[in-house]
Amino acid sequence: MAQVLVVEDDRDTRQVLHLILEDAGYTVAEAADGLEGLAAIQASTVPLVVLLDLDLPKLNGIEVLQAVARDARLVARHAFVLITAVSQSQFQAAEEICATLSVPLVMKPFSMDTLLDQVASAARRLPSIPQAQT
Amino acid sequence: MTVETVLGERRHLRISCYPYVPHARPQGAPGAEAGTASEVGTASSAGETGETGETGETGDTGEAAAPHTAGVTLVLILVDDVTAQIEAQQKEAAQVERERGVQAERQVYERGEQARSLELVEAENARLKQETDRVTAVNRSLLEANQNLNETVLQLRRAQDELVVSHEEAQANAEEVKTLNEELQSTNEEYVTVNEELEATVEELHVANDELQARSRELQQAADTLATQRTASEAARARLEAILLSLGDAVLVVDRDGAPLLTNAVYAAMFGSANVVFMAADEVGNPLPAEATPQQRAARGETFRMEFTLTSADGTRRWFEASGHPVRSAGEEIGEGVLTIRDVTERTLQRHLQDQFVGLASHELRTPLTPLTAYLDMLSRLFADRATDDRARLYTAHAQHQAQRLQRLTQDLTDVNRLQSGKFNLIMEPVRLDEVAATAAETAQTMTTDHTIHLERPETPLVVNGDAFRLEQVLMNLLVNAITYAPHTEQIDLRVRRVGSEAEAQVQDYGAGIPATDLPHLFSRFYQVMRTDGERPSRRGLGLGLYIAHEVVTAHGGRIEVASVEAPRDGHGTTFTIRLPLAPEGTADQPADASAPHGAVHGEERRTGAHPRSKGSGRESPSQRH
Repeated sequence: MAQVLVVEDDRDTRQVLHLILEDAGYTVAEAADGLEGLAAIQASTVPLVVLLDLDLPKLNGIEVLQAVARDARLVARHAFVLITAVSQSQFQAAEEICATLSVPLVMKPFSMDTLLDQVASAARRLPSIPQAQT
Repeated sequence: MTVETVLGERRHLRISCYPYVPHARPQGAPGAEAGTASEVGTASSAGETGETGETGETGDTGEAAAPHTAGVTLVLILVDDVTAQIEAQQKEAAQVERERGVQAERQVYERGEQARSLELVEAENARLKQETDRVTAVNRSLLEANQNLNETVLQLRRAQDELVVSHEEAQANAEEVKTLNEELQSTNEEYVTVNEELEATVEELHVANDELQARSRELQQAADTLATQRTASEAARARLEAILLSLGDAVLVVDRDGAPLLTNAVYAAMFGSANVVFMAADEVGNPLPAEATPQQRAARGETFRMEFTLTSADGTRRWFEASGHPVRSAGEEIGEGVLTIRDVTERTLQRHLQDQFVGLASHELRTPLTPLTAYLDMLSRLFADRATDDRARLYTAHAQHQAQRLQRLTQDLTDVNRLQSGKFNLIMEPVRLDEVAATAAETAQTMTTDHTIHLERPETPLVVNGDAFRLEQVLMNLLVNAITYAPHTEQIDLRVRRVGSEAEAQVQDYGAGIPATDLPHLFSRFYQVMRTDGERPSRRGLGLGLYIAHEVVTAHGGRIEVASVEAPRDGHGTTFTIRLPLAPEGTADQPADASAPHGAVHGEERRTGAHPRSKGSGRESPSQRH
């Protein structure tokens, strides 16, 4: 199963996402802000499904995606799902970067089915996982 | 002397002698000559010619020369031939002698003649003298008579002159008399005319006097009326002043140029002085365009209500609400406008705080909802997979239901926040309103066991151009309202139909109705109707549902109205009616399908991402949220 990185500042939300994804069989890593998340994305040698909250401290979700977009290797390696409550002012920028990277947007609060559908869909976009990882 | 020549010719000679004295001074040669001439004279007298003149002259000369002769020793003699001269003298003397004889004879004759004539003349003279004397006498008497006549004529002429003068005077007098007579006649006529006029004037004066009396009575009445009116107008003015004083709002009357004509005390207190002209600015402090200021709008005769701000020198901003009305007199606008201005700073700041709070609350409430919903989902799955107590399953379901309620409330707060900040976007596409209504009715039915939701829908599709998600939200809000505010009733009607060029959706309950005083405020946010029967509704919500419904319908170019009869247990209840423009012909065949991919992503609708709504992406149907 693919590895999922949850970048979410709200601890409770991060925790329940962790639980849901683990129950579904994914390997889950966590990051509590944008900087931490970007560092984990850049450091990971394995492809990641990144569940990225839009409204994050330090670097918001858009800025994380913009940083990723500047590195073609990261773009090719990982798949992203943007999760948001409401942060309307950032939608214009979000629309542009999401279109560039083909990132779907999931609205909070989400149902489990919705979330798992999106993660599974993103996992299918990942490059084939090396045999050694399974 | 005369000599005879040899030829017998007689010749006259003149001889002259001059004594010669050697020592004598030759003084007076002529004297000497005269002495010589005397000798000649002597000689001549001795001659035979008889020439009188010659002889005389020579004689004188001879006598003068004689004394000198005695002493003479030498004489000079000169001889001249003077024949021709002598002959000529002789002839001339003869002629003169003859003429002298003739003349004497004639004189004798003439003397005789003259004597005779003289005698005749003397006779005639005597006669003439007598005649003359007689004539003279007659003439004298005639002169006297003539003189008498002349005198008489003169007298007569004077008399005539006097007569002429008298006549002229008499004539002039007669003319004067005639003129005077004529003048008197015309004067008399004038007197007659004047008299007539005076009589007419007297008549007119009588009439005028009558009129004046009548007018005087009218004036008196008018004066009485005016006095009454003045009293009334003074009272009205006093009332107006009292009203202006007692008003809590500033009052400004502007002329047709927007300049202040009248202000009240509150105005002076609000803006600093009675005549100050304030410069209205917009929400963020930018000065309004000249034509958009309240003064100019009022001056143009607009009826309006607007808000503006003023920023003081220390940077504090105050908010004002102005309402303007034209001044009309007898139905005509007179180019003046009245502004009432209220300081709404407190209210505005409260609203701003409210907006901030709503934004914060919607976010903060939503955040725990995410894990709560997720945990309830997990719990539900857990129980579904295992054989367990039915109560656990039931309680989990209840918890999920409450979480959805909470989610709906936070969603309303979020919507309001977006509406307030102008970030509320719609995804417009052809939508079958009848289908949307059916879904809403079905969902609402699951929320009540007391009511039966009765749907009336046309047989043909009713397509509008709109946002299906938002339209369903509107109908859900109305249905939930009906369920909430019409308890203990059996039926709620949802009617969808075509009315002219519009689609109409109607939600009617049969509850106690809404008080008329509440109706104007019904679509304001956070507004809640207080029940007059003291019964507290089971669920009151945040008072946002109708506000959101109104905003959504308005954003669709439609309108929402309410009709209500407040009559407990009467059964008419409340009816909300929505009218939306129908989609243009041709779009009806391809209405939005719930399973169709969602194309463009705008604003908050982006939550659906690039994924079809049917895939159950983040955008849940409002129905799903309940």
